[in-house]
Amino acid sequence: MRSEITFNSNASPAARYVGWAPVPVQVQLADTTGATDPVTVRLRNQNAAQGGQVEFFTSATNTGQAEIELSLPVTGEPADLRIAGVFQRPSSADGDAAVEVVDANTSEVLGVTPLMVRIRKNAATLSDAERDRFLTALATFNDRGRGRYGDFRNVHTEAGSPEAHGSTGFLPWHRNFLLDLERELQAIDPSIAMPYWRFDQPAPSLFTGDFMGVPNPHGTLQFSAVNPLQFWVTDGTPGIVRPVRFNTQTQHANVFSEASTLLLGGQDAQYEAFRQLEGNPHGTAHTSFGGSISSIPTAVKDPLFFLLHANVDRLWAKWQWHFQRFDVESTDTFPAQGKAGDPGANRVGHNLDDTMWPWNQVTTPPRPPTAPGGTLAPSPLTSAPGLSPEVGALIDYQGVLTPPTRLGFDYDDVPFEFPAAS
Amino acid sequence: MDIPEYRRQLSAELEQAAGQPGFRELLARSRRGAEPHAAAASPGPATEDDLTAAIAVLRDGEPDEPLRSAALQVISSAVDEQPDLIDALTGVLLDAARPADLRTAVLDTLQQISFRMVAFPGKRPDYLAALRSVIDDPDAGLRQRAIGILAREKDEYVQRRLIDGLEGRSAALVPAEKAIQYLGYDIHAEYFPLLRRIVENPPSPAARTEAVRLLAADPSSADLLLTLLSNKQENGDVRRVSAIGLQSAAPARFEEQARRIVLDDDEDDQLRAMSITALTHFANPEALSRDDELTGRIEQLRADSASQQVRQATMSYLAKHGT
Ligand SMILES: [Cu+2]
Repeated sequence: MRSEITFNSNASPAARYVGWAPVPVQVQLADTTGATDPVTVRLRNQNAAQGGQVEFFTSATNTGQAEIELSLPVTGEPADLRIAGVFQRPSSADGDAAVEVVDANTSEVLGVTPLMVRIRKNAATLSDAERDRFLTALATFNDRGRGRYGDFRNVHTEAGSPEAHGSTGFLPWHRNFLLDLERELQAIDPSIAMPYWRFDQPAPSLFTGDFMGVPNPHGTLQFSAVNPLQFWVTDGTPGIVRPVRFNTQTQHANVFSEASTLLLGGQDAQYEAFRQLEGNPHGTAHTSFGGSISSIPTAVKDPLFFLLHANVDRLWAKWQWHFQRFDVESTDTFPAQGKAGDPGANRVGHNLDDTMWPWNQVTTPPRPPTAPGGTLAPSPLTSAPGLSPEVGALIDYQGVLTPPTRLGFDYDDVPFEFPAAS
Repeated sequence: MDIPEYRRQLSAELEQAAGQPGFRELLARSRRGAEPHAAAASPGPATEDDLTAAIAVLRDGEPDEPLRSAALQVISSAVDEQPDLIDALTGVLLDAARPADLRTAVLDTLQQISFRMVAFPGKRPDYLAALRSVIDDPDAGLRQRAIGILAREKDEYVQRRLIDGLEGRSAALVPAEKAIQYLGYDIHAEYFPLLRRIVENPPSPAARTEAVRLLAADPSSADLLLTLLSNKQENGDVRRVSAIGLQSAAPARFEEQARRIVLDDDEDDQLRAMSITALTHFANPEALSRDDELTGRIEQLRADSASQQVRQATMSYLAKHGT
């Protein structure tokens, strides 16, 4: 007899990635010939000492348990439960977490399912192996300027700028932009989660030749001889220009601290006020360097863009968690309810029910004349937010209030919590 | 991790941050002698009085850095509601009588605001016009920032001025390597003859390296890049930049040369490690798997190269392509 675990009704190993948000799984028995009585099984982490750790939720509980007992019928009928990563116990390699199913009476191991607690981490804390996998996937996706990174570069330009900046859609648009790139990188190496540059803390290991490069005296980056980013090409020209305006080995960028940023929305946590973060720390982080990253039309030429924006997105996620801002119908969570054209609505692309360019592929004015890169990259973990998402689909990214909207990413310092009973 | 406890920790951090002095308090403290009134330290959104005071702080050339930053922050936060504040900032930027470090801080704030400037498109032409007048400023740092921003906007005026400087028709605005780097944001075929001349007759080693970097965009410079890469007497930086350029412009020719560099006993280790890394990530895996001579050589380098980077590169290579 053996036991099988299926993630999200998808039997493929490609579905075996979890974050902090609980994912529905199905456990069932197989090869039960001869058995007649239901079997009581116990699920637990195979190795509680190292690797990513998960916890288990039955539909009756909202509290994760390190071990859980279930009775499984010999008919092979699946039992439903949910699995989530244990906060701050992420994986560092693919499959370094594993769920073991044992027969509760005989202690016989009926099955082991490897998985990954895949979490977006502070880039300054990555292991060398995590860092190198990320750089390799990024360089592969750019492929010396011949790859699809060029589509991402061509989206974030003067023409695309009004879709992404200067209004309520700034945060959701960039959340989707990051997710699109992360999914493309995961198609190359599924163990990758987008790292973030915590710009309000020194990140000496990030600004090295082995990671995001060190500028020479006139600002062109230099890399170590084994770093695949040395072959970075955009717009037909090799190299990245990023002169520094602060000491990257000892200082942080001259930006608001995390705490000051989280207070931008005020004590009553209003999105409309919180989105001031588009100026400081977001814009200020961009202009803490010279070079590509300090101007909108060239910022994406420098892949540090995505680590910077992962941190902006993390700040939003942390604000959402701390102040419980997941209810899309609340103007505290997102003020521009409705769609473009409604009385008082914002520019198209910045209202809750608007689709977002370029993923909607709309190229009629006022949208830009081209929409590089097609629709959003799909994920084997979830169908959210859809291939041509509306702004509103990017808000409850953990599925706190509506589990199907879970987008399949989490940050190392932003937990998942069930909505407070009120 | 106890999540309720984690939440309490963050709440405590936020409470502490909320007590830090804002613009009003810094302003009150700086006015020594004047009794700070009760409203000085009160938080809350910027009022008209705050904005007037913030602009005055900048116009007075305030030397106190924290107060100056706080003033810029007050203005930056209010720009969404009052785009005309941009004009006040531009005014300080253009006032050559103000200290250069203050004007630089103002320029950085304007550039930070430019990430949101789509919300006030009418202000953009004025901003770019202001930058065009700053490119001749006596302060080198300010000048370079303005040129950089305009170059990234593909501004034709600044491009012409940079070319004029490189051609010697007028005084150079910035060192040649910076001028070349700026032109790289909008590479035109008509720059290539100039860049080739700079490679032959460089004003500085750094300018030569930058010129080689940009020539990757020129298909007809592949021969030149190959010549530079294969010449062992050539400067190391130039060889590495040529390798990267050739890898992009003519991958097959690069791979042939990279293979040669790996096999050659008498080659530079940094270039060898770089060549192995390039082959690891970008060469055709089937061709590599048939290349026994190369595989043998890489196994040998893993065992006995004196260079740590070469050994590291061979390990990545063999992890991906080894048998
Ligand atoms: Cu940005």
